[in-house]
Amino acid sequence: MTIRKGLFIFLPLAFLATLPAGGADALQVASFSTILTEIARQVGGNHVSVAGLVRPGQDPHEYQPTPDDLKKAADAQLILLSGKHLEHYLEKVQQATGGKGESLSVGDALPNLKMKADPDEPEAKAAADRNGMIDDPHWWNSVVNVERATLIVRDELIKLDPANRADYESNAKAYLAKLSQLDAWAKRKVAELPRDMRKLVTSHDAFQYLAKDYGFKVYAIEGVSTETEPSDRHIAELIDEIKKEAVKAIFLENTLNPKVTVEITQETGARIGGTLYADGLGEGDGSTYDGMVRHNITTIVDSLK
Amino acid sequence: MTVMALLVLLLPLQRLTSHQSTPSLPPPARNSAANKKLHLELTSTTVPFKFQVSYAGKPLWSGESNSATVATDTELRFPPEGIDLVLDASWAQDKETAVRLALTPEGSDTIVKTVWGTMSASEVLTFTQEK
Repeated sequence: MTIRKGLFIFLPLAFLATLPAGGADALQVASFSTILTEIARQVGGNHVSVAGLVRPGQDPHEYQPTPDDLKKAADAQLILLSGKHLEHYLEKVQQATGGKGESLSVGDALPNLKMKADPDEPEAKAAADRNGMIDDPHWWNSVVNVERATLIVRDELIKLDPANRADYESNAKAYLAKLSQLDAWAKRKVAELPRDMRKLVTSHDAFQYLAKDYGFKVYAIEGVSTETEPSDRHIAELIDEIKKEAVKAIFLENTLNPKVTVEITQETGARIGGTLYADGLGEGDGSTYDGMVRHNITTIVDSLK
Repeated sequence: MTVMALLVLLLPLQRLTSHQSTPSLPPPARNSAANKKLHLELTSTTVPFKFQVSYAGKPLWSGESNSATVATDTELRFPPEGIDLVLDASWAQDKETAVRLALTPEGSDTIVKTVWGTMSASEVLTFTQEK
């Protein structure tokens, strides 16, 4: 091959490599969940351009969209929402978009666990049923749910862009294979911990789905939201429970203030087992879903052994 | 003699007072589940096969067998939450094979779990006793 022929091939390829994933023709997606941002990027590949509006490490319970976020949502052809009442700002998004783009509340199509609504939070109170229970929004802490979410996102991308069906199907298949390996790894790692030692005390009640998949019993210091302080009575009951169950470690979360948790360790003799990614992707280990789950499971199992 | 008697009295007294000063936690709940004798039986539809059964991250029983069924007895804590056993099996033949692990706690019914694999199989099996 002559140098000139080589340049003809190399230069266009080098130019293409400098373009961001998802060119001008790409399907515009806005995501209000770090997990759905990853799924959309993995399944969509170069055919989608995904704006992740809730950023890694950001607390989705406290997130408020900025005017710039709302503009990105308004420009998107597909808006991905976590669902299960997590987006308390949904009305703002709907007003900004005027129903222009397709809106998909992925979590609403997934199996549901219930949790006690925080009576101090008006949105949670409004969404609660007659027994004061609401849908637990933390579905992503189950790998099986993320597999289901991948299929939902795949089908929506195919619906909006049928020309690229084959790529969406093949990308989803590859991502699902990784999730399946992740779930098998997690089951094996959790099996290192006898079932009667699977007592998970965390800052807020975000791990019910993980607990159901891997046989843990959950004790939460706070309720569904991260915004309210736990009551003295709840803390006292929790301390009794931790002592009774001889729980070895309790866990912090990357988006929460550790003050109350640290006080409980001082009262009970349990130690801080580490920091968990409860509300989606974060920085470091937890910047991918695979890394997030591996970090959480390893931290929990190794601390409770 | 009086000094001796005082010393004898002081020792338990010191133990009692020093015990009160340390924070006492109740004994770990996990110790409440007593060890139970368990009979394990492994059956493979293809022979020979290699196998390993692990509990709590440690190998419990492993080997290689030319016969379809092998068995062993062991003792483990069997709490009401049940136990997880990790079963790894492998075969030289490239065909779909079933391997069955039957667990019989002493004085209780047998609990059976089956996994399938080609060349190898690896799965976490949860055994819980009927209440």
